[in-house]
Amino acid sequence: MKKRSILFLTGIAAMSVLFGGTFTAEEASPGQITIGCGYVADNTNPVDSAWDLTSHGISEGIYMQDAQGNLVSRFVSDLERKDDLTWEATLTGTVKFSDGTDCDAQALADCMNYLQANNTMTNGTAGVVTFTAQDEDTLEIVTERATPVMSSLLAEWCNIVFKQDGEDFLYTGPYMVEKLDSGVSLELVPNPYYDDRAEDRSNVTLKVFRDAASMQLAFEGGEIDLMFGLTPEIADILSGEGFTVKDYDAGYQYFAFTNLLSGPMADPKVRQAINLVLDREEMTAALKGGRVANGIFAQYYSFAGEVEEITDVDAAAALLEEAGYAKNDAGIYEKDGEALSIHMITYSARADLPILMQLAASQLMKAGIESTTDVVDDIGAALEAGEYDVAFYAQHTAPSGEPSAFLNMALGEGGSRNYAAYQSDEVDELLTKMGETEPGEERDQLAKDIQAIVAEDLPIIYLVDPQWHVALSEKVADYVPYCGDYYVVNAELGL
Amino acid sequence: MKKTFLYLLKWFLIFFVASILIFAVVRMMPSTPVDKWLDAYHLPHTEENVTYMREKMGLDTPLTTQYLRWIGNFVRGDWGVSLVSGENIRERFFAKMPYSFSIGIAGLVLGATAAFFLGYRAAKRRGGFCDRFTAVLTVFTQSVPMFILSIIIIYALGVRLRIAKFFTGDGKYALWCAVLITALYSMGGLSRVVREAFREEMKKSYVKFMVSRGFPRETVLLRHACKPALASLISAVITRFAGVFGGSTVLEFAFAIPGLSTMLVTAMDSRDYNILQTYILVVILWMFVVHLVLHLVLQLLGVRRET
Repeated sequence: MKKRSILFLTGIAAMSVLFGGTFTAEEASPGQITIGCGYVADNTNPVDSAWDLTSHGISEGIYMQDAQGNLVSRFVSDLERKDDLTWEATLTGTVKFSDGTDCDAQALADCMNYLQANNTMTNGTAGVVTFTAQDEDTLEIVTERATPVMSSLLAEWCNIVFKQDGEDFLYTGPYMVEKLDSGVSLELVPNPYYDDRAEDRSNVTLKVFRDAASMQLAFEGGEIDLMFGLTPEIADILSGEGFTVKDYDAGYQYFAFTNLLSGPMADPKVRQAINLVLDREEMTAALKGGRVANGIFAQYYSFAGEVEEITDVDAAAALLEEAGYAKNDAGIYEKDGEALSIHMITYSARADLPILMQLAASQLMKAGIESTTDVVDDIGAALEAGEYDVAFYAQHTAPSGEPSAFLNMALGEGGSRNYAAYQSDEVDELLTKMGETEPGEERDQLAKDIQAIVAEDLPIIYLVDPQWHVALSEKVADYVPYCGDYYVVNAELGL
Repeated sequence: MKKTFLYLLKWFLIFFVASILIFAVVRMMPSTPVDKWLDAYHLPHTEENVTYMREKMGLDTPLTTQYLRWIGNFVRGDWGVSLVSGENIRERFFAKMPYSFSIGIAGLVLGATAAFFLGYRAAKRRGGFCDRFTAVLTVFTQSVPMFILSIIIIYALGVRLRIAKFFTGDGKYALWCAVLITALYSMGGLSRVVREAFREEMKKSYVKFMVSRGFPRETVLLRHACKPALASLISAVITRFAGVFGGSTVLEFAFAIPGLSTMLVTAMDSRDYNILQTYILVVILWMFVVHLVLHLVLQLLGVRRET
């Protein structure tokens, strides 16, 4: 027995020697901020990784959204339309790249023209756009097609400001890349030329976690300071444990596409009935945040809808009876001996959506409507193939701070998100008018009118204007993220 | 000589037939890397966007051209670049390999070494501590998922006691734990294999004869009866070596270790054809090496085995 114990202890000692060191955790650098997230940029190329670089606080668009959804610019002080296709931007002249060189009109023209030539996605809104430096502080912008929303075009995710420095790229955001380990982590240091608060900023590390439970443990163990992408359950647990958990406006919207082409949802009365059965208050309660949607845009935008969504099961029953449905002995609506069954689909990338879908299924069942649910691998393909009656979806519907891009995409003829070929002369007319109207109250009203029509026709069912949850350590307790995951690291981090 | 030639020919054929199958199967996956990329950025699947991305990813040429280009480059040592990030796959592979290999190989070797001695003691004294311990360990590792144990360890050491940082710093704690958990999970099953092999030998007349002649049982077992037990253990271990690639997914996810499994799952998510094809082909090459080593080691031990 004694011999065995000695052998066991020797084994343990050998293992300790083999793996070295003592079990004492290293102290994290006090000034360091570590963020737990689901991804980091694969590279620092402005064509491949524009969205990621801006989200990480490295690059900036010429225009960006503030927390209220307004478009603001550090680069441009005045933007004037000269004629249908020509704009003139007067620069502030205060922005520098991270090597200290000025970001003047020529630098802006160079990078924008490079992106126009190398990323055809930059040509989507107004065709090929040509940028010419008139002098150090004046930039002429000529579009191929007319657009009334140049500031929004310059706020599109792919239009980021950069300067090529040999093999590397320099940017203008509050942080610059110290070390990138693709798919693993990204180390950032403050950009000394961003503003006069650079010295107050901490180094930041973005650490990728593939598993939410591990990220939660890392946060609870004090290894990360910020945890994004919290599910409602984890937010609740962390909040209960005394950690700071904040809700912030996502900008993204949760809504559902309806299949107008085939199946029960092709009947407008059934669509209206389903819309009335859905209890959105229950949905926001399940998500532990957010508001009942009043349109297709986040409610902080000036062009947000003014639709009032209500739940009225009796009115829904009346509509179903008008559509020829009657309840059978089992309490399920049927027509010509066939039960009313709604096939609902969604995808798992946005964790809130399956919750909403299951909730909707239970609400429908309570109202006597059968449903089947499916979490699909490729939501785009399922939508294009029409393999759904109702498809739960999430999207930031105004990423460049204006409404017409999404409305055209989802409701316009041939629009890439108009999966069920929705067509309305009234909406088409309003969309055309919108394409000719400068930003302002009149344009906002057009967007509101379209959202009101959609609430009647229901090619899209508005669900939730969500708030997402973020957990923060004491070090960054004052930090307020905004605009979903578009600006995970913003200039206020740690200040 | 003829045998060696046939052995190599068999693997050569496996390699090329597999490469065609891999290429075809990967392309048959629902949704393409272009779809996935556009979805990831919430971009519409317009004709312009799809065409642009297909061109950018090199998917606009005929499939035969794509296959020949890929396999030709692979054979020449050029594994291509990731469709999504544009990174050199070979460099990425070799950067991540140490993590997965440390977990897989070190864990397995450690587990097998412990399993040999535990199995030997379990065989020597039926119903003794080691026999009962290995039986319990086998049931434990079969019934408690690796992920649960990992989370418990992280919670105990990282959250409650705060004596180890698993996710920040140089990642040594995460790697150690992953190795030890792999060792633990291989130990139970392997020790039972060794135990059975020793017990089989103990029934044989040469062992009984030597013990009856007064040789100590331990000496007889460890000196004369250990070869069959070792052969059984090595056969069992070698089959588990296939799991070095992709076998540590759970641990890599739980401890946020950036190994090959994480790379594979990410590539699956984004339908990165180049990484997926290359990964599977490298696994085949790895299996070839493993089988070759098995072949040689068993020959050294004097065990006859059909190829």
